[in-house]
Amino acid sequence: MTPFIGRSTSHFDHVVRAYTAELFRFALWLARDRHRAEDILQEALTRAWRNWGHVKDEAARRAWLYTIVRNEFYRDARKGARSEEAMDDEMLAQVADERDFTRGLELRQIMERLPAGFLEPLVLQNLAGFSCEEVAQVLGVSVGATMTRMSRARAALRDMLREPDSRSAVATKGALQ
Amino acid sequence: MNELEARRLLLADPRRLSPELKAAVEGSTRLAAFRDELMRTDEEMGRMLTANDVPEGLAERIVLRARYRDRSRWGLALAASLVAVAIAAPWYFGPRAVDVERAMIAHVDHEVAELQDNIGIEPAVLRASVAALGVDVRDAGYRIRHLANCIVDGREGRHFTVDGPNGVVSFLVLPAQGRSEAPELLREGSTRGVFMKRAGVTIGAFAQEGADRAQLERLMHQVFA
Repeated sequence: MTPFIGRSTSHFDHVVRAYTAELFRFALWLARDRHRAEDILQEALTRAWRNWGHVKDEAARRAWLYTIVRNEFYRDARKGARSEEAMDDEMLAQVADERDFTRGLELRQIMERLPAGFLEPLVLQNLAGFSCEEVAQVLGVSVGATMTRMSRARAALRDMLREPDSRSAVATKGALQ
Repeated sequence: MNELEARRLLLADPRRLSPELKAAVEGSTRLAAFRDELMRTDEEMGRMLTANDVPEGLAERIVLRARYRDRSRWGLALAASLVAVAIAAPWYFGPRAVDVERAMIAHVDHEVAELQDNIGIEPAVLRASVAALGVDVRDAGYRIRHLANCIVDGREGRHFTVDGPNGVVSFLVLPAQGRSEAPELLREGSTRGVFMKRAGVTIGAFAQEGADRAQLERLMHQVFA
């Protein structure tokens, strides 16, 4: 366990600089719009600053920040009917692996169709490198429920990559869960 | 553990295996192939998720907004401009090369939490992440404790820690040109660091007090192909 740091401005600055990139990407996958993701992140970290001293264990700081970003996304979503834009072509072209460019695009398109209940745990595990316990903490559900969700999400993704026809069915089923 | 249960656990997290699950995977070619397939998809996902650009100066804007939210918009705009100038000035006028290595060691010295973190990362995940910066990483057999994308000196690098032969060692790969010659062992707080240059990137190896330059250089050459 790392020492409790309290509400230190230099510590806040340092943590923000360290985690802004990954938190922005998480917000972007939730919001699917760069401007909205930036607004969500700015608001979330402003809230985080107000409650900075509440985190007693520095090892839990990162998961706590993800939780605040996620909560801010849902708070923002409840505020009103903001249209969700699909990621544009320029962003699609940023898929890094040119050797398998088509599959990369396909994976992105499939992930965009996944319902939030499936997408969130996958993004948290693959973007943040979180364990099932940490994902459970961010989502506010039990570890067992997280493992079930993660398991179903990967199974759905696998099915959708293999059989394009199953895509809409899986998305609909997941949305209902 | 039967195959169905093993598959369910692999689908939940193919990277972190309990001893029982590990034994099941090692004893079944079907399970091993299944895990490989999941790992490949996860690697693709990882690449895709980190491929989006982050708006320039976002971290600085967030810091300013959090601290000075109640001040007027004009005040905020002025402060943002001053910060932008403060950031840009050393870039244009300062001794750039030495700053890169100083910024790297300062980052590592400050990131106490990263030395404590021990979630365990698969070598393939690390390789894919660092490969995005054009650098190959070897699996030198050291357990990888932690991996993160970190902003250092305004650039996004990869920071990972391993259990080295003499304790935890941090590595930082940053897409920036450091000094032309390998610098002496740098010191910052209780952290010691050595550096090397690759095309377009600077790589640093860091350990706490007690580590010497030869140990760190040896580790760096073991880990980076």
